[in-house]
Amino acid sequence: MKKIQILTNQNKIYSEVTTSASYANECGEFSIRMVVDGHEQYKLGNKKLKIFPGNFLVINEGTVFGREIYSDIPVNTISILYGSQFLKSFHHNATSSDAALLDEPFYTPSGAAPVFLETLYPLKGDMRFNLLHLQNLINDDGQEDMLINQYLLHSLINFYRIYNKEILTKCDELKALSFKTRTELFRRLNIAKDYMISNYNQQVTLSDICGNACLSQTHFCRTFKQTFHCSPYQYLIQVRLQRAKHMLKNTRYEVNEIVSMIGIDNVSSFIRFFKGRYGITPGAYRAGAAA
Amino acid sequence: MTEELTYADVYVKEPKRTLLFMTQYLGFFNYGTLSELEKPGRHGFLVKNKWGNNFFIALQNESYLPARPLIVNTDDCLRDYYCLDKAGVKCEGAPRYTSYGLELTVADDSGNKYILLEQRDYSDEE
Repeated sequence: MKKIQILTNQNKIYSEVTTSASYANECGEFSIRMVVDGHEQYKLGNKKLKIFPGNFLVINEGTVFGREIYSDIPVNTISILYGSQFLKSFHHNATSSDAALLDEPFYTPSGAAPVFLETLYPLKGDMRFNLLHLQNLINDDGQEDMLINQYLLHSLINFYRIYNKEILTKCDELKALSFKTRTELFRRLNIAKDYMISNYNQQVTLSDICGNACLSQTHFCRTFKQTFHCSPYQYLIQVRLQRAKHMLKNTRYEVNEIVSMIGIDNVSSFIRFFKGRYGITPGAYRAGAAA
Repeated sequence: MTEELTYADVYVKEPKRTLLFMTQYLGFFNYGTLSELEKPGRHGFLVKNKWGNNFFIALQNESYLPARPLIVNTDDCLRDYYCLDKAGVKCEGAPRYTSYGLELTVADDSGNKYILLEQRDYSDEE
């Protein structure tokens, strides 16, 4: 099942529920992409990414990409595509001073659309709540452009906040380096982060991660910790626990089945990690979530 | 949650107009009049929201004092903002993000302020 809604300002929403789909060489507007259940695989250049329910992906205007879904269970995906002019106007408003906006109230931004780092972002906080509302609205066949645009506008507001926190602030953690070096290093660290998120359920090795990110192991470990305030191993465990938490809350898999699906060796280690991070055992968390 | 309201006295200039405002725009419905609920001499209405967890009593004004804003829980603040805006109700600015959710302030014509609050639990982030 596929739904496409095109709004009067050329913003679009695509919603799809499928077990099998493959799209190659897509290219279009700036988009925010998420999955509600299951996962979707993307290919951007040489980079392969998987979106799971706790993350979203942004793709810039003009980027060519492919995407695939192959799943035993139906995968529900939602993509928001922002019209170029809408995005440019929003960006101008978000990044200009009040004085500049007062001086030129009818300024129409021209030139290229803003470019963001194409990486996996955490789907949490207000972004998550707004996208869940949007999902409900789409499922209810809500047709009111203005209302949908409210959600799209707020999704963009939330994205800018996340971008500021996850990209600009964290990139500044590498402040000892020159701007050019810092930006390139941060881009590579994000490739490593995306690799860990996309392959969290595999036996991921440090050399795999570093090979993907084109960084030496010592350089990678040092700069990753400097940026994300945890070691790559801790980060990977954190991703696995987040996935386990999602499965405990939203599926009926037994704890030992979940452990085998998230790439952790044994149940006792999993329970120890889970309790250490969330202060509650997996069983108690599931019971609480179901109550 | 402390913000969840179960009962509040709302002093208004004209209870009927406030009743209309609350039923038309804030999702409440008229639950009865105060006289029916044995409050002799006090003209007003008892209203409750569609989930039954917010109760208000709108009373006749005796000595008018602007009340503190009342928290009205909602499940979707952006939708409410859109509906209120469409109906021509003046909101005090756009919805605001706070540490406990998304909120929007509206006022009735007696000057009573209502904070439409969509509480969001940020503690259970995965």
